[in-house]
Amino acid sequence: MKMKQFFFAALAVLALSAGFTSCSDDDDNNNNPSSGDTKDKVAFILNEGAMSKNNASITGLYWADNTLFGGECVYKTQNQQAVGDVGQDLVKDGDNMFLIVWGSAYIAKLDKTGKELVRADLSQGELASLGSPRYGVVEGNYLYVSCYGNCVAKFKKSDLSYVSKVTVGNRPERLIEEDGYIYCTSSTDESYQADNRLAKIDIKEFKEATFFTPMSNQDRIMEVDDRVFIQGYGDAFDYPWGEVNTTTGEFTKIGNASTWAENDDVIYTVNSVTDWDTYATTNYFATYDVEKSKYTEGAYLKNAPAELASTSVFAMEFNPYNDYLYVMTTDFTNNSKIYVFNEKLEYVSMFESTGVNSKKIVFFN
Amino acid sequence: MRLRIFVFLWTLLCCSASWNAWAQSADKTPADSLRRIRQVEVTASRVVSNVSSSKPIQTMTREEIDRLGLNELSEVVKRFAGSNVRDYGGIGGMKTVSVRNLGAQHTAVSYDGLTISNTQAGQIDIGRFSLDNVESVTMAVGNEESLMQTARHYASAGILSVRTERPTFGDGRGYRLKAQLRAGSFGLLSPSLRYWQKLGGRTVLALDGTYMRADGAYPYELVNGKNRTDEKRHNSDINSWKGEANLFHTFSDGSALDTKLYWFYSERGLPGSVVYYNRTARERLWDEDFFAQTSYSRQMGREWKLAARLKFTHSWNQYEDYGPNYVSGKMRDVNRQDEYYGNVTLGWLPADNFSVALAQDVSVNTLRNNVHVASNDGPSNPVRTTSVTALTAHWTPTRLSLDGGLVGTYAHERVAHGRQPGDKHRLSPFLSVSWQVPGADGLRLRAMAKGTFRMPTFNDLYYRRIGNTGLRPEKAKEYNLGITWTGRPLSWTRYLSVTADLFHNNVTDKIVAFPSTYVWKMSNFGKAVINGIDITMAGEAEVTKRVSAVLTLGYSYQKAVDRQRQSASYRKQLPYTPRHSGNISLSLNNPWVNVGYSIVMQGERWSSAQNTDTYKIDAYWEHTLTLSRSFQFSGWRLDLIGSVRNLTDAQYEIIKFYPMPGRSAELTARVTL
Repeated sequence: MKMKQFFFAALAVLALSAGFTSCSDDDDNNNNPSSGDTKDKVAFILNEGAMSKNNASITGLYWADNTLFGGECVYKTQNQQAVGDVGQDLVKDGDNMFLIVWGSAYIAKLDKTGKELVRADLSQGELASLGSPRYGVVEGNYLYVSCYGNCVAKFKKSDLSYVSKVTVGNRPERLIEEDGYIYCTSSTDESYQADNRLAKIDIKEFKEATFFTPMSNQDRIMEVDDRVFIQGYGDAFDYPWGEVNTTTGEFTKIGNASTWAENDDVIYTVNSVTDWDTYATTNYFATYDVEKSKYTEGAYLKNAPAELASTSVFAMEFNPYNDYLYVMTTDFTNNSKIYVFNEKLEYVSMFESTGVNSKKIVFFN
Repeated sequence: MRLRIFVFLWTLLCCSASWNAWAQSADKTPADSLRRIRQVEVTASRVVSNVSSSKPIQTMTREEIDRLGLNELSEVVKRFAGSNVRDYGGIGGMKTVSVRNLGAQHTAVSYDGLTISNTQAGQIDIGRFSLDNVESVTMAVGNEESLMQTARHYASAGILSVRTERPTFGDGRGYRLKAQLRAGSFGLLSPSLRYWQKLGGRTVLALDGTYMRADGAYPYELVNGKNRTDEKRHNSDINSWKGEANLFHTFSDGSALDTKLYWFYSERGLPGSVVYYNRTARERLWDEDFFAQTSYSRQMGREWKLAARLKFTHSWNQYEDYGPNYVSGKMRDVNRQDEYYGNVTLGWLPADNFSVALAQDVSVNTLRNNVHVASNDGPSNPVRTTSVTALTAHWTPTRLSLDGGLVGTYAHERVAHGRQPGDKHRLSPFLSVSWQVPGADGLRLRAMAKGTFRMPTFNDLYYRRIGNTGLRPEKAKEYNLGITWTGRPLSWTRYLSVTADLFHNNVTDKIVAFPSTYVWKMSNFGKAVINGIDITMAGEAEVTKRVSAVLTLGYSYQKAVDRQRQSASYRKQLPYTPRHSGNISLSLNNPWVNVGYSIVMQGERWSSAQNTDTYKIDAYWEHTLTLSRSFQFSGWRLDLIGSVRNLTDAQYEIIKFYPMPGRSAELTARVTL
């Protein structure tokens, strides 16, 4: 039955995709999940899986009513093979997605049904020197990917052919594009000696990076209203985050967060902290209004199920088409539970993903 | 370091020599104790020990090892009911053993009476032990029956004991020589040489040396969705050298001094787990293990026995991985472990059916490595001093056999960097009873209860980022209720024995890597309950006057469940724990070609605590056929053993994404002078 649903959904998506390209954001924002017409509003959830288990997967989601399609893994259903080991990133680009898989060391371009179009194998040949791929960002005709070989590599979006690379900090993590530059965080070396360099690369030249040293052991980075924020493990693994002045490199700590999401110039954070005496995890919520530079501690989720206060939050994602918030939780063993909140951040529903450690959602309309 | 090793060895040798001199001067009674020791070993046959013991004890002897064509210790252990071998595949792949799923850290491995330690990982890779010079292998739930054991032997929930061959000179010659060549699939080549020499009337020297190499590049079928491809394991090569020197001296009063030097060195590739789309495998591992041990045993009058042991162990390993994922292009971990160990066991036998023993062990374990606990700390370089004391008693009134005791452990630790854990101390009792049912010769009932614990390993305490110095010991309780029977039901049966044991194990404060957001930490979080039954059967029948058949069978049912309420895997079957497992072996012994056929099976199990189809591992059956024949010539003997393993070429995994080899062949030629 699910296969049949998926088949029709795929057909519908393909047939209607041309028409939807002219839809404006305003139209999307008027979406009402209960009004039907759900099969064209698809999302893909990347489940990271666990290292050496080859259990990364992609869950298909009709985001209008939050029902699943595509079986245990959309990618597997479409391509007759598994995603592989450690699903690292899923990057949307128009009607396509770029799938980045760390352990299996490849980058694949997928269409919006999950079918693989082309792949760059970073495990062998010339590309093996780049190291395993981590995260990606699209700018212009290129996909830029941070790789564990201390570089950001540039690929053509069309066929994923390799162009060149720029050396950055140790074990680079996430990256963004802002005002003609790529900013890429770095974490540690193999001995867990923390790096504190944030790389800044001029996209036009793409030759070398300049560095700021805002904080140790970085991970996440986002741009909001032309301002850059970074988050990381820190020296003490207490997940500090704050703002980086992209001119001077000055870092201003704002709070502590193990993950975050942004919507309408507000950064929503959660810090999942485990008490090693009781083994209880507590989530500390906070928001940061970028425009007002105002940090407010306290829960922003309304009527949230009680368990959400004590379950590790692995990632959060806003649906750009209806401002719904998806809170992806994990117990690191079972498939992730994902809690959905509406645009007022009121609890809507919960569903179970089809894989372990859900970490990213890409939405299509 | 070399100086310390030298000083220790020198002390050990001086110790041996002074004992020797003292004992020689005290010797008054001539006796051929070598022969007497040999007699004791012969009586401890596989069937008798498992049936008459108050605890489940299974033994495989050299004869049976040869009949079934087994060359690795792990292959023997897989044929014991209740054992769980985690086999990562291939000749160089790691193999650990767990008795009744209590965990490898709860299972001690003993080599000629002294346990092998690995305080860093807490588990012994039994894949490193060949069977070339092994006389017998015993797996005991609880502990073995012998009175004069070390305290450590009582401290574990189960013990795997390896006994090497002791020299015998049946034909009056002063020496014996054995040369063996083993060759087989995947580039396996292993010559070995053994030399036994009498040194006077009471001293025997035994030298053993083995070299082994293999490419290990075995084929396997990779299944990824609907794709099936033929692949090969890469980077599975191994080169290993093993040398062993044993000096056995028997004093005229019957006391004995055994001294052993053991050295093992290997370099191997680690193929790692199969990763879809990525065949990269560059990891290398070098291991060096050296130990020197000496054991002295003496009967003092009619009522007292003394055993004293000393052991020094040095282990070194170096792990390297290469590739662009490392900033320097290379990852290198070096670990050095030393152990200084001493034991004295005093036995008192005030009556024929009552004995008491007090065993005292003291050990100092050190670890030096380049692994930092946290990025801003230096290596912890811990030193652990442990005292284990065991007071045991054995009472055998009519029809009854009672074993009981108390084990006290105290451990103190200090570190060079980071937080120092608190001292650990604990008392662990055990009691077992076997009762011969009146009117039913050969029928016995047995029961056992034992409490044990395992110390957190150095990795648990100090491993980079996830180590936790606040860990408590992991506790285990095991209960066993069994029935055994042995007899000769039909005239053509030489014996038939059957054992059935119900068991209940309870592990609390289980040490697990507790998941948290991004940074995991070792914690006393888990709780597991393991219920099951082990059934064994062994029998020998006389088919004709010149042909006999030996049949052995083992079956285990285990329900091993996570019982930690807050756990994500609460009430789920523990990973890699099959509900059903078993083995069967049949050998036909005849004057022409002996035939051995054995099957090892494991039922379905899961690779994750998420017990879903995604993580289900299929059941497997592995068949092994062995043909062997001995040729006796004047003054020398030739043994030829040929085996085909995994006869059906089954594609299976014991650990997910570590494929096991398919069909392989092996030929062993052995010349004994």
